[in-house]
Amino acid sequence: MFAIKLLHFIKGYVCFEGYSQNPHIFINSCLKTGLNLWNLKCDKDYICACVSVSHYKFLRDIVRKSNTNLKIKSRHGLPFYLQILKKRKGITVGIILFFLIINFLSHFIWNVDIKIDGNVETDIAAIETSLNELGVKNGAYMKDIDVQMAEKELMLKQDDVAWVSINLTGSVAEVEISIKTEPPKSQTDTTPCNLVASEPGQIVKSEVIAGQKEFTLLEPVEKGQILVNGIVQNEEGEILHKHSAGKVFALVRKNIDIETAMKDIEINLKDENISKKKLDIFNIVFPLTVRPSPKGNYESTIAKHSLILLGRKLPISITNEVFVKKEEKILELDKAQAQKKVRNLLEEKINSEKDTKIISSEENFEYLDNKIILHANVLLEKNIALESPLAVEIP
Amino acid sequence: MSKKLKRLPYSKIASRGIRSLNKLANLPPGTLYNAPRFEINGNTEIIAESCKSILEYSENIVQIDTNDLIVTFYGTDLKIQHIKTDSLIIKGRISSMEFHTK
Repeated sequence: MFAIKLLHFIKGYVCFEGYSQNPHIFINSCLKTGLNLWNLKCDKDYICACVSVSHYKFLRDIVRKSNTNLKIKSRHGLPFYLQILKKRKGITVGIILFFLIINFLSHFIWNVDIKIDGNVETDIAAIETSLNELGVKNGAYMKDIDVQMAEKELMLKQDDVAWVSINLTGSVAEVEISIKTEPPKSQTDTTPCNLVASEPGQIVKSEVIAGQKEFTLLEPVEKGQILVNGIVQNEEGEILHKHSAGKVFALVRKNIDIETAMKDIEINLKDENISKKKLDIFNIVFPLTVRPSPKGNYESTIAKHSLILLGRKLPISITNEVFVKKEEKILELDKAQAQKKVRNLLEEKINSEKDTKIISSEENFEYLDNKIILHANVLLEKNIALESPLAVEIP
Repeated sequence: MSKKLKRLPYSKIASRGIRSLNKLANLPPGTLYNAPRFEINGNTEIIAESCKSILEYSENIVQIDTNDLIVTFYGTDLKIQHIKTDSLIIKGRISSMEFHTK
């Protein structure tokens, strides 16, 4: 039914009504002439029906023969709309231009859709930059892109990419990437070695996994002393060379000097900010703000908003760059504040070392030329076990 | 006195001859000649083919003339939905159909 209605609309039809002295003659004449009538209503002398535009002219003779007065009730269909458009050429030109422009723009990439396989963290911005350099970007002409070459070049540029596929579907470049996953490091290193002390200290605890323990708890050890022996004798008296593994924690005393200025720079962001907007269409940038970028101490943040239509990103975006004025204030620290600052630096330094923690520290502050120096005698609990390969003679 | 045989008109002789030939050849009726065809969908729609003219048309009666038969449809809210060269579509609540030979 829809197809018939669509056909009628495309061909155009008129609905007419009228009064006839001989309605049956009218209807039968239409039948004999081969006219296509529908929605026919006939009540005594009243007739109402619809006929296609091309058949309407044949009604003239029939109307004369049957003494009928016909009047057009309504006109429907494409031919009548086109009649209106003939008077308004601008609309026709606009419609034609619209389709031509859409066809032309469909040869360019509207959106680059990057999908990464798996649950691996990676730098998408770096991948986007590499794709831009290879020509796979918004606004690129699709026929200029050598997809296979781009895939190979991307794998060479990005070390962490294991596999890449670029598909140009419609106006979207779909990039699917698989990231390399590093295999876990083998823990079964079989190189025979001892564990020796990296620093002198007093052993407080240990976790020996392999090798023969050569120490007791609370024993003081010297630097280089063997803590875990890699040369082991088994029950049958055989001598084996093992890869010693484990951790040996000892109390180590150290002198650490940390120096810092008695000033601090406080950065205040002021309320006044300047924003600059840009319109990006197919990678062509149109500035929306004439004002130049402010000079001076400003912090800028950039936010890009792309237009989305029916869940798809369009190659039209607005970039808003906001400049906020920074005011740097130099604060003179008093003694307590300077001491706190230098203590924090000491803690950061200790925490940066693996398996180390501060047990106690004796602090001595020295003040020189707007500087504060912390002479700290710290007692640390740290892992002093260091792998030392055995020198094995090969017979 | 011998009765004079009434001569049938040539068209009637020809049509009878074609029908006999159709029957002899065991073909479905209407293959060699234009028999009226009716397609009935429930009691709401009838598609009638080989319709020569409409004799009567109102809300309760639609009478059509086919080649050999006069067919009358009775019902309520009857409407000729569509008319084409020799076919028409009747819609409405059809209660009965009658066939009269000419």
